[in-house]
Amino acid sequence: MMGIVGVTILAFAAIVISSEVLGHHVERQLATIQTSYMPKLDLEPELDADLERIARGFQDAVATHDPDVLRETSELRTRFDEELDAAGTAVDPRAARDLKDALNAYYDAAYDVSRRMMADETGEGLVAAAKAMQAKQARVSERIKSTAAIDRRALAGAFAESVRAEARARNYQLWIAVACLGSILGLSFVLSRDLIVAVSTLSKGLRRFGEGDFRQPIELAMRDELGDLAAHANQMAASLARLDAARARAETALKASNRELEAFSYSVAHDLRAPLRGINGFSHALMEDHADKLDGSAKDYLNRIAGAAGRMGELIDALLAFSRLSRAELQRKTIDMTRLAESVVEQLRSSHPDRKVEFVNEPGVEGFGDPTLLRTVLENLLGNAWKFTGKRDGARITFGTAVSEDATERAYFVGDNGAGFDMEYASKLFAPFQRLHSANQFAGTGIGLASVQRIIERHGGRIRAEGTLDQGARFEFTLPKPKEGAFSC
Amino acid sequence: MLSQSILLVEDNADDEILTLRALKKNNIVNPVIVAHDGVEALEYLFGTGAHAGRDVAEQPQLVLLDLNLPRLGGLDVLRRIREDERTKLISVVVLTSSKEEEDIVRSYSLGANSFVRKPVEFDRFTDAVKTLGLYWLLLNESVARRRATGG
Ligand SMILES: Nc1ncnc2c1ncn2[C@@H]1O[C@H](COP(=O)(O)OP(=O)(O)OP(=O)(O)O)[C@@H](O)[C@H]1O
Ligand SMILES: [Mg+2]
Repeated sequence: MMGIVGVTILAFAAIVISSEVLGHHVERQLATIQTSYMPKLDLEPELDADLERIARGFQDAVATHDPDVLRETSELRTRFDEELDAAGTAVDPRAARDLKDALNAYYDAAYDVSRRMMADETGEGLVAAAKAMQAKQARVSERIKSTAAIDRRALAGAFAESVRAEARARNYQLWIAVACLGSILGLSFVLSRDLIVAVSTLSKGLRRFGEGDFRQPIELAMRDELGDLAAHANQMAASLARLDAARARAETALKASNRELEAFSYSVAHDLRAPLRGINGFSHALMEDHADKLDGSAKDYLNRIAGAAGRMGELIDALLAFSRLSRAELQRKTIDMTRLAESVVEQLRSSHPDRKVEFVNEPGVEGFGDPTLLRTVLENLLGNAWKFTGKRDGARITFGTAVSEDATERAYFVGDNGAGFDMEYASKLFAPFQRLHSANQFAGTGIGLASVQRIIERHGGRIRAEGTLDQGARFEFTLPKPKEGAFSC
Repeated sequence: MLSQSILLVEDNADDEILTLRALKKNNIVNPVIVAHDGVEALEYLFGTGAHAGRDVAEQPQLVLLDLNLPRLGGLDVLRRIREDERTKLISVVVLTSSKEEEDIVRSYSLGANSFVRKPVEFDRFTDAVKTLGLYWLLLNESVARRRATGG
């Protein structure tokens, strides 16, 4: 923008200055004509008149015999000189001097003749002097003519020159205008090209920032709004980069502490398992090797010891699996949820061939998430439905989509007509090791729903439970739809 | 040359007793040498240290290898076994106490022949040892018996 304004101002200046300069040139030509030729135009008649007046002055003096009149002729001569001087540079100085000399010569001669005639002198000498005087007067006339003569060719040349100068001026102005127009067009083209390049540099840079690459600032050497924008974007990128670095540090620390936690839980699990193996193994050994020495209650106690140890082993395994869940990387894919549910129920059927369960599966249900983890979700929810309908005739499990208030996510549900639960304790369901049914009623460790909740939340979804005691339960969860063009942090 | 013996590398006394008992219960009567850590295991295998002078031409038929061992860990023992000409053909069954342990050993691809998860439950452990029995007890049992009683 600034460039175009600059060029326009420059163009105006060029036109104004050029017209000034050229106008001056034309004016000078005209002035030359004025000073060189104009004064001459009037000079000849004036000088002729002056000469005439001088001649008449002498005649008057002779006729009147008045010496004052004779003296006054000197004023007339001065007037002639002044007239000649007034022409100034228009008159060639040498010609002017010759003319003055000629006039002086005539004046002196005329004066002499007049004085002699006023003294009433006569004779041959006087007549000769008068003739010489007339010759001198003629000479002055001649000189006047030649001095005031105008060189017509020079005058014509001067006029032509001034006309040419004017034409040249117009031409120059035209060319300057054309050049200005051209440079404005060129500059605006260059500027707009610069603008396009700048905008694309800017958008590329911003896209780079958007992708989280802050290594290089946007390089835009423009001192306008775009330059400002780039500078601001760079500033923003710098603070984002700082934030990013802080986040990376936090992430590294988190990873380190995760690794530590992993190592810790691994060694805890390992260390806890060894004594459990001992308890379990030796109680069995005792039972097998020394059965003859044990009565019924001793055997019962030993069985309980082994059972408790076994259960503790399961809890340790469940806890380890649960802690692994929160660390595993999510590998999101589009998943056929209908098929997944079908295969989970198939698995349940084959491990419980005695059960008769009706499974209602909605066709064509799609999901987006980690296949392994979502399988774990359905295994737990359908597994629970399967388990808690265990004591019911006409057990029925349903899977399908639910209504979602949010367009960016999909909602699903797993329902059953089993044992259900008291809604008062619904909030406890998702806590690890929390159960609403006793182990004799329904077996389990109470880690299933905690795992489900953690998986759903890691996917960015929510889960809630509804139940009525002895009527059944319904678990509803949501999964975000795939986002387009989103970048992960 | 491979002998009929089994090298059990196990630092936990309870596990040792239970393993030996399980072997016996399954009629596995091969002589069992017990090493209580990785260093001891290598000393036995290569006839050094406490086992200096042992005829290393006679190597065990099978090594039952625990992973968490004092001094030198099970993974290092396995690596050394596979690196040495004299021992690289020995069957090594790794005793693990978790699925992760098994994954770790696999990920190092050190050439464990099999894995037995040390089960908390006695029955499963016995089953595992029985499965394990298929490995080497296609051997001439009478020879094994003679060596066991004779040695
Ligand atoms: N479909 C259901 N109907 C009735 N109660 C349920 C249902 N699903 C879960 N619950 C209740 O929530 C508790 C927690 O469920 P969760 O799946 O976490 O544990 P679990 O099934 O008992 O054990 P696990 O899943 O670890 O083997 C259950 O013990 C039960 O009381
Ligand atoms: Mg469950």
